[in-house]
Amino acid sequence: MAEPVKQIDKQEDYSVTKTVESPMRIFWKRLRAHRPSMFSLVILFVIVLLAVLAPYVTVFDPEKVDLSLKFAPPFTRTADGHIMIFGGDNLGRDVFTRAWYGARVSLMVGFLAEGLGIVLGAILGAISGYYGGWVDTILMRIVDIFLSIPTLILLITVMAVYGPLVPKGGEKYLIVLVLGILGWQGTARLVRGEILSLKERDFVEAARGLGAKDRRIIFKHILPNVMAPIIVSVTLGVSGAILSEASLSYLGVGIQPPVPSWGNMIQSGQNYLRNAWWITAFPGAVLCLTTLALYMLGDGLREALDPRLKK
Amino acid sequence: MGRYILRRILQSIPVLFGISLITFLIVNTAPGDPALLYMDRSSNPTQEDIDRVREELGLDKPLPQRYLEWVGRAMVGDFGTSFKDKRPVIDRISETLPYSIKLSVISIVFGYVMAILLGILAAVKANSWVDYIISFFSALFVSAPVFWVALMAILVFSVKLDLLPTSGWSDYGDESLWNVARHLILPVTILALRDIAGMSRYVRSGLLEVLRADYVRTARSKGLQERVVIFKHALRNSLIPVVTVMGLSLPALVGGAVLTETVFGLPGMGRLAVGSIANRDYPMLIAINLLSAVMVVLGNILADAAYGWVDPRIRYN
Repeated sequence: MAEPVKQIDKQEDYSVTKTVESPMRIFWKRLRAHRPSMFSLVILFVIVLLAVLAPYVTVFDPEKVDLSLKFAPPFTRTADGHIMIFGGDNLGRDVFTRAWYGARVSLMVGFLAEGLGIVLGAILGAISGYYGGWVDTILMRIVDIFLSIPTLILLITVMAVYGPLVPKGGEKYLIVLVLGILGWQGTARLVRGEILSLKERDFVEAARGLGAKDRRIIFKHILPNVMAPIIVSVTLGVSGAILSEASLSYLGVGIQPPVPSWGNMIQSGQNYLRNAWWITAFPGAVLCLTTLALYMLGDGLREALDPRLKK
Repeated sequence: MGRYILRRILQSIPVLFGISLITFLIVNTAPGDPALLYMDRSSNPTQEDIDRVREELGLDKPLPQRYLEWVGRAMVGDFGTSFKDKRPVIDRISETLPYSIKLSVISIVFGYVMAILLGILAAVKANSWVDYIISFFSALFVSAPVFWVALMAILVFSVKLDLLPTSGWSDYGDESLWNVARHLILPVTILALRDIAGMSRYVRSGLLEVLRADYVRTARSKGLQERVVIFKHALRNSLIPVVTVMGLSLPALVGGAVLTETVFGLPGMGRLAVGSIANRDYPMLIAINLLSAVMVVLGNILADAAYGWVDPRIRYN
């Protein structure tokens, strides 16, 4: 049994003679050691870069129909010498180009929706945990409701009702809004739990004793301490929001064609699966790679930020 | 136990009211006149016709009154008339619900059996390449879009290899068990993938934890075979964390069922919901929201009951 000996070693690590590493440095060291997350970070960086630079990455127009290139297989060379890496779709548009223009929409919706959800969740969770009482009861009841229902069906309903009412091209903002409003509950519960334990701690007491107002205590003293679990839930949340947007677009209530999004590209390709699998396969593969990378990054962050796992 | 379940059912009533209120408000505060959606627009309805339909649908009454009347009728199973085919909503739902329940239950059972087996394998072979492969695929399928994985499975197994049918519950006029099973292999596997992927991780970490316990060492030192140690002694305790997250995975399963039914053209409630989008069939959508929530809530109660069966130390009070 080597364990008790190790324990003693560990305690020595905290002695004053040694330099104490800042939590941020420990975090980076651990994250760098987690190979899947570093790999995911690189993949995400490349995907975001290609999406942002889409107009420079490709010479094709994402919405231009060219029936001579209808169902062109991958690596077809066009008349003017450009190569269609992912082939052409049912209207002869370049699938590679549409995949990266689609990435712009899908990533934007994913990040904005999760951003909105996190802000709402942090504020409502902080209020709930800090003040308690009836506000807490009501908010947590609402959280219970949303966490126990299949949100996809609710999303479909909202988009079916309100989707046709927004102007053309505005549906992405509606999706952001709706995903944000339906996506704050997990964060709220998380933040509330952390705050319940933090608000009794001495440093909060000290801040209050110095005359700090509630808002300052919540935002300056408590929330920074909740950042770690929030960061983990952001990566998973963005992945979830991207998947939700893709599902909605796939079902025809999300981003409307001809504007490409990964979801509606997969939908438009599925009828041609037999003859032109690439229309469906490639946008989905990019989508899958994105969500997988976000998921693995979230996993790595969780391990790196877990104070119980000290190596 | 019985009292506990009864109390859980009573506790879930406010939740269901909340959901019914939320969906009712979403649908009924939308701009636009539902009466026009209900009517056949090509018949050029006059204002009189519209008013008559509004009265028929109760749209002339104030919102709170409409909600209370709707709740009263919903209690006895009357969810109104479908905008699409003008049949009672409950009839369409009772035609489709059995398919969704069958699909979900089979997927859950299959999913958990696979998750437990793969979790055990990953734990026994912890930190080997078997473990790494299982953990990579579980990360992949937890995060992958269900509908795309389903389409790729159709591409490989139905289109390219021609092994399995692409869609439907069974071939027309052939409801034999074999025929249905052939049609359900892909949808069930796809729907179960998420649970397999997510749960095998919990089984793995739960089992690794338990395998360090003293009673497992005792069992081993008695000279028991490893198989007996794992299945007879360790497994049950390692399933405790799995059961706690079982209920939490249900909403995702219902969402996954909507997409799976749509891709595979199965006649379930999820596809009914998707089919109701185009017609903006409000009564149908509200009812499906409510009923799927009821199913999730009931599933949660069952999961909690199972918790007591797995861990007899739990006392319900």
